[in-house]
Amino acid sequence: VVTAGDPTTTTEWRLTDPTAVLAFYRAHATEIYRYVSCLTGGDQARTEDLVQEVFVNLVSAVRGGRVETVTAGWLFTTARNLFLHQLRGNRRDTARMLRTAEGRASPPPGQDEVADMLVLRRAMEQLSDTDRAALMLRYFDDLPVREVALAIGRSDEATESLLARARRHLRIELKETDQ
Amino acid sequence: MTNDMKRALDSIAYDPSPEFIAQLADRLAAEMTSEALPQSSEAETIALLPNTQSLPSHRYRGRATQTRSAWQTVLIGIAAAAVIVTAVAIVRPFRRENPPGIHTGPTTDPARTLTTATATTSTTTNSSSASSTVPLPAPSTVSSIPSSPPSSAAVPPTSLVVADAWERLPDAPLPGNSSPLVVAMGDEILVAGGLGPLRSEGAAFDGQSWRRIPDSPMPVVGDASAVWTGSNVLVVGTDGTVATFTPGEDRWSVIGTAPTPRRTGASVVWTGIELLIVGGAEPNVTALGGFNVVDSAIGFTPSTKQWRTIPQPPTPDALTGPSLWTGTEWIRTVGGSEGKFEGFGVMAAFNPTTNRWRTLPDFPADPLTPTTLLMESSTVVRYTSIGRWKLVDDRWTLDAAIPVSDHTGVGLAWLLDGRAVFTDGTEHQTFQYRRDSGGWAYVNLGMLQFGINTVVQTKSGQLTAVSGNRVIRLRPIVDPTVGVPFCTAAQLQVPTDIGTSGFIPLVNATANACAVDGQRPKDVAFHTASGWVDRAPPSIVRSEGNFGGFVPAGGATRVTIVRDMNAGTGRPCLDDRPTLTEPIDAVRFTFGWGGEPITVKMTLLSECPDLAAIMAEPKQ
Repeated sequence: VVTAGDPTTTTEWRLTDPTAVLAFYRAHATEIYRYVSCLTGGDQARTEDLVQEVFVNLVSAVRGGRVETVTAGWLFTTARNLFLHQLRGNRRDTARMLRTAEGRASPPPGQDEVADMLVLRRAMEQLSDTDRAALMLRYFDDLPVREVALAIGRSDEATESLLARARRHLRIELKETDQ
Repeated sequence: MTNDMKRALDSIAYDPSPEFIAQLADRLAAEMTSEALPQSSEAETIALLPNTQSLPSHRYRGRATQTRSAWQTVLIGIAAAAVIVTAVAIVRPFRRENPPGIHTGPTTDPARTLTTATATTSTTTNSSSASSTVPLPAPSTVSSIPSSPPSSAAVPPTSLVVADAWERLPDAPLPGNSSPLVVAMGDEILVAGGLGPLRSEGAAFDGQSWRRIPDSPMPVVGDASAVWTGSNVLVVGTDGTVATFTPGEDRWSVIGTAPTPRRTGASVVWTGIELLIVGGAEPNVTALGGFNVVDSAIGFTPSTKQWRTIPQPPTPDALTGPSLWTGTEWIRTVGGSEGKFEGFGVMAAFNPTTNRWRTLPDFPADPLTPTTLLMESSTVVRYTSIGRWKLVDDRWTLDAAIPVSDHTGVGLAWLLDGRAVFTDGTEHQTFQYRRDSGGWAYVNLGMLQFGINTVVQTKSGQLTAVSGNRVIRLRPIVDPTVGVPFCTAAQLQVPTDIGTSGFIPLVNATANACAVDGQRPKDVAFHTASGWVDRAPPSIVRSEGNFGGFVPAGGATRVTIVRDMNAGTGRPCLDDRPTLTEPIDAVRFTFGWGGEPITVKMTLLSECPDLAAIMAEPKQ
């Protein structure tokens, strides 16, 4: 596992000409795509749209003189901001009913790795955009709960509750599949 | 815990398709060099940009340096409850995307490749007025890269396709081995290896031309030994070696070796995470030319490079037929050409989540040959020479009868949008059934010069057949005006000076005038808003049809111009005749030698009549 010092994310790129921008794009397009695919729950169309927007924004920023030296972190942050921006705009539309099963949760018995991946993927896809974003920001981007709360526009308490619900959802999915 | 969760989340990420990466690179290159600023909103862009001066150290686990790590099973403990999610950290994730016939989940739309949609061609399209100007569909404009960029050879909607025809493509730059490996890589096609003796040469076809690629690291043959994951081809070689081929880099990489190799005849599917392999055969060294059936099943997870033994299928030892990943289950068929298992009718399904097999009901009809299993609107279907069968609630039902043909059986089958395409048992004859408002229409696609036993479907839906190094592709013939209500009608007063009778034409889909019993008015011409577009003969009068009516001289009859397929045969009146793109607003008839032409003004119908019903009306 790559640590925070991973040169792929901290290496600075000087984007002084189109060739450098394209090289930067080719170096990081796949990672950004993978990151965004987790945010969108594997929605291919949304993922492609968001990734496209990230890099178009990059070109805009470079041409506008606002960005000259960047790291891959710039891309991840932009992707996250764009997703959250979209999320805030569509919050009413994206609200979903979540299945809850208070009191039924228990750790899954040891299952085959492949089966677990299939279940986890399906469980993530079934989360609401907000819940999935909160999980990603908290556990993938390592943001503290406070920053997650600010990012998704909720209070700290509501965010804690939301995270717990999302985690419980994943756990329930595994449990139900096992039965 | 956080790291465990990261690994779990990363394990379910998807890789982009090579097409998307290339398309976006093209767009960025264009925007970097364009005069105008990029399209995105400048104000919004600024608001969304991160502050590059205060960026925290980002901790995303980049894929590039993970590719050599081993996967680990992770239990994620959260909150008061202990462990929540067991997942596996990813090393080299393989994006879920379906090879033809595979549906893996909610983000994959089976309709994009395999669903036979309800026919949108309609002869009952309403028009609110009898306006003589009928707008054609405006060409769509694309302001950004579509989610699935259309290829240059994208398949048009069925509603516009009036026929299909095979076209010969350039031969592959290969020796022409029999039974080569053929697999679609998005909109490219990989051909490699083959028999006689075992080979490993390969080439890739991008829809226009071929390029040689490096030899595969192990011998490969056809059958179902390869799958497209969306970013790589996963190939199982004849010696059990598993390798990936990455088309963007034209590079092979060996990633594993099967514990129980199968020389030939195995069936594989890709679940989005795991490669599942069942069946096959190994040469029997004690029986010259004989084979021993391998009936076991194994699974390979590329990201962990781990093999697992799958429980023994509840199916008899017999040859393996077609298999299919439904999105939740792996369906396999077993059979052969002899005895009770004839026709690959014995079936079972494996669920990788529960790690269990279940027995499916035997296929109730003898398909004679191993017809392909297909996903159609999230339902498993199978075609035979008598119809389409659907598997619903673990029961096979004959869903739609297909007109009985004289074919020796249905060999392989594929679905286009609204059309099912087949080979017969000889692999030389090809035909299709088109779904239309009247049910299924049979269309003969012709006898091929060579038998085809391998056909692949590209991402855009095109069918390409390979035999050795010879390649043909099914080319749709498009009429852009299909669906536009061009139906018009009028009353025609037949002159009295033409003798004792006259024959009245009808006009079919492509504005071909079809006359009764081989006779017709001497001359018919059609008028549209663009003027007199043609006159008969020769180009738009079609005399071999059995249409129209016999009317006495001096009588009156109805003239109807119907935009529809040539009823009765299911074939369009195409030939080399032109297709009109405007409604015919007038028809000019000339009866007998020297007769005065009669011009009849046509009225645009609000609803196109059923040509077959008109044909069935009593003749006057």
